[in-house]
Formats: sequence, C-alpha cells, structure tokens
Amino acid sequence: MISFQGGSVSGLTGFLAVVLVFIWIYNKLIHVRNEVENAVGAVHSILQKRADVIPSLVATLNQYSDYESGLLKELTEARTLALRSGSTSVDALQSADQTLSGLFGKVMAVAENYPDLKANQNFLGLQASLNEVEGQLAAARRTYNAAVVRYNTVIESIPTVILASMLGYKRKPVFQVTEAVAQKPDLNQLFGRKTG
Amino acid sequence: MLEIELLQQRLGKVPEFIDSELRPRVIAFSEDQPKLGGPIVAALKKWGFWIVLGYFMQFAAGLMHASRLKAIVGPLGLVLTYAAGGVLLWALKPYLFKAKERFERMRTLTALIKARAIGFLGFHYESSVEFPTALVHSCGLFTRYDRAYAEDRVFGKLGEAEFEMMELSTSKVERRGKAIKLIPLFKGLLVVVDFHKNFSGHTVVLSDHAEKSLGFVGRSMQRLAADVGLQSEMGLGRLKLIELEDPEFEGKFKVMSSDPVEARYILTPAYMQTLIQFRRQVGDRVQLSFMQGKMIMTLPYQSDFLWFPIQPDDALASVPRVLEEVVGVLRLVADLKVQSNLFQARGGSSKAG
Repeated sequence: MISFQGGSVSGLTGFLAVVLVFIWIYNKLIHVRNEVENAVGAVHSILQKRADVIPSLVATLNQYSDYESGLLKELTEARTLALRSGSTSVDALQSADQTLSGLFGKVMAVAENYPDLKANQNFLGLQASLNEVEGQLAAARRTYNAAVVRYNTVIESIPTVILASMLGYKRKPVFQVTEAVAQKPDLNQLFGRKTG
Repeated sequence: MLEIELLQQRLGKVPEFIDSELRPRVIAFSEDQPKLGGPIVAALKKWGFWIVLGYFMQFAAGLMHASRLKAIVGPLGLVLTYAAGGVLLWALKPYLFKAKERFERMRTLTALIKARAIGFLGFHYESSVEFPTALVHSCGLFTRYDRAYAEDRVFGKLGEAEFEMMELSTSKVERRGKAIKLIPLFKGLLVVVDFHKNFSGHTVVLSDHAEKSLGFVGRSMQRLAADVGLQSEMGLGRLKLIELEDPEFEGKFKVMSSDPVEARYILTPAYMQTLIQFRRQVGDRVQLSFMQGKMIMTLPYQSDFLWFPIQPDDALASVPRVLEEVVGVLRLVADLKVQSNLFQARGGSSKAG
C-alpha cells in the first residue's frame, strides 16, 4: 500500500513537472513570436514615416522646373503603393524599403547638380528629417533581426523544437541588403537622362 | 570649427586673461589688507614678557622653602601670569577678528577667481549645489545610498547642446554595534548633456562585470535579474536587457532599455566602438543613461574637481589647471557627440559640432 502511494506521488510529481515545462516552453514561444511581431510593427511604422516625407520633398523639388520629373513621379507612385499596402510581411516591407531607399538615393545624387536646391532651407530640413528617419529605420531593422535570430534559435533548440514543430512555428528570414540597393546610383546615367 | 577647438584657442589666452582681469584684483586685495603681523608680534613681545615673568616667579616659589617670601612670590607670579595673559588677549582681540574677516574675504576672492575663470570659457559656475536627488534616483546609474553631496557645478552650452557637470559623492552607512562606518559608493563627476530631442524611452549603458568574470552564466544571470526587476541600481525598474551585435561591446557594457529600437538608434555600431575607446580613456567604471532627451554620464574621479587653494596668489596659479580640467571633460563629451545620432542638428548638415 505504502509503495503504491509512493509510486502515485512520484508519478504525479513527474506529470506536474512535464506540464510546467510544457507551459514554460509554450510561453517562451509566444514571447519570442510577439517580439518579432513588435519589431515588424516598428519597421512598418518607420517606413510609413519615411514615405510621409515624400509630398514635402516633391513640393520642394517641383520649384525647380527642370528637375528630373520622371524621378518625382516614381517617388509619388512609391509612396502611394507604400500607403496602400497594409502588409507587414517581411518581404513586402523589405521591397518597400529597398524601393524607397533607391529612389531617395537618386534624388539626393541629382540634387548635387542644383546648388540653389542644396541651399534651400526646406530641402535641408527634409534632408535632416530623412537622415533621422534613416537612423531610426536602421535601428528598427537591427531590432527585427535580433528578434528573429532569437526566435529562430528558440524554435530550433532542444527542447523547444519539439513543441515548436508541433505548433507549426517556422524559421523567419532576417532583413538583408540586396546588391541592387547596396550599389550607388549611376550618376552618369542620371545626368544623361536629364539632358537627353 | 568644433566647439572644442574654440575652447582650446581660449585656453591659449588664459595667461593674458589672468594678467589683465584677475591679477589686478588680487593685488588690490593684498594692498587693501591691514598688516596684522606687526601689531600682533608687538603685543606678544610686550605682554608676553610679563607672562613669562609670572611663570618664572611661580617656578621660583616652588623651589623655595616655606617662608614669607614664598607666600608672596608664588601668588604674585600667578596673578601676574593671568593678568598679563588677559591683557594680551584683550589687545589681540581686534586683530583676531580682522584675521577671521581677512580669511573670509580670501575665500570670497578665490570663489570669484574660480567663477571668472570659468566665465572666461563662456560657462557659469556655482560652488554650492543642491543635490539632484530626482535625477540620481531615476537615471539608473546609482545604487542606493544613505549620504550624498554635490558641489562645484559648471554649466553652459557646448554648441547646440546644453550641459552641466558637478562633483558628486554618495556613500552608505554601515552599523556594526555602536560603530558607524561610512562606505564610499561613488565619487566623481556627473555630466548631463541635453540634446533637445524627443525620445520617450530610457536606455542605460552600465559597466559589465558579470559577463567579464562569469561569461555565459553571467549573461544569463543578467537576463534573469532584468526580467524579475532585481537590479542594484535605482531607476532601472523593469528595463529589459538588450543584447547588441558587437561582442566586444557586449563584454564591456550591459545595456538596458525600455525601447529596444530606441536603444539601437542611440547605440549604432560606430557609437559602440566610440564607447569602447572612451572606456579605455577614462576607465572601466564610466556609465551612461539616455532619458528625457538627455545623456547622463558618471565619471569616477579620485581627486577634487576644480580644487583651488585658498590663498589668492596660489589660486591664480591654479587657474590654467582648473580650466584644463573643465575642457578635458568637455572634450570627452564632444568625442561622444561625434558618432552619435543624437547630436545631429535639425535643418542642417548631419556633421557634429
């Protein structure tokens, strides 16, 4: 009788331990998943903030009638797309980020050819705002990447991998700079297009 | 031109400033002072003789056999000693008051020299300072203390950023039975720089000893302590431990923040390298806090910040050293400014200074 009771107690204790471990792992998975979602939200909101600079930038650049009008049109279209898209998927965000980064890079490169524009107070203010937003965006990307690395580590480590695969947790990609964005804009091509 | 270069140029003009602005005051002070030495020595000579005579008479009476002469010489000597001593004190009294007054005037003049010298750099100075309790309790850089004081506050503008620095000391009281021991916790500088930027979070960069000595276990303990709010420093609350990408930085500092994005906005890869270099320069106990648009830095400093001798002539000789101390601290702040996102001017170029 006594050994049967001892066996029941140790069995119950073992069961409780398993339940506690299960709860701990489950909560940890939720925690790391939410961290990634928070980080994605932060990137999305800063990208929106960056897109909001475009109308003021276009208004300032429109004062210079011979400024590359094709470029301004691309900027406006990119903003419209960014605002329409409610997607917070990493691929969509990365694509929006890269498109706008490329366009802003071209705008700043072409502005080098307009001394009056470079001295324009509005333009300087917008440039400073953009620099600040770029800094925030870089921080948001790093935060997202750190959250994703932690998430991927947790879902692929023992013992959390067991429950993670049962619950359908999949590995997530990090933000990467593609070769296209890493390249500087071709100034000869830009100047050639302007004068052509 | 960087503000620090302008300050360096000003330092070069300090000898000229001392000769034109400060030395005349010291000379005027010296000429204005009554000569106390002569009268005091004369009074001592005059009445000191009678005091010594009285002691001699008492001594001689002690050597005599009991007699009528002894009964006269002893008491007479005693009366002479006390009477002459009393008259001497009465004669010296006005000079003692004047000496005390002179000491107070010297202290005032020395404080004026200090304030003018710091004013020459374009800054302001206060010797008595109210201890910044609210800031110290909320910044997350100080452990709980029992006693604290602050003094020697220098404040002004460095470029577009307003700053203040002051000497701070905190200690805790340890009681062992009836004995009370004061354990120093912090002695050094508190430097506060206001960048007038709106950021809502609180990020703290602390010196990391756990990871250095305990490695991975130390980091796990830090994470656990942060999660449950067990921190020795005040004001950390439930700030989360932030793990950054630079392993060298991670080994030397522990970062806690209420906003991980903001923490990474402040601590860019370049800024992390700057902080590592900065730590090599100033020692491994430097710590920073970023909150309410301000950077708060604690710099342990063993000697007395802005110490001036009380004698005006010696104080004049100390002016170049004191100004170098102030510029030295500001140079450290400027070095931190260069790589920081936080000091970029609005509406202008992103270059610092």
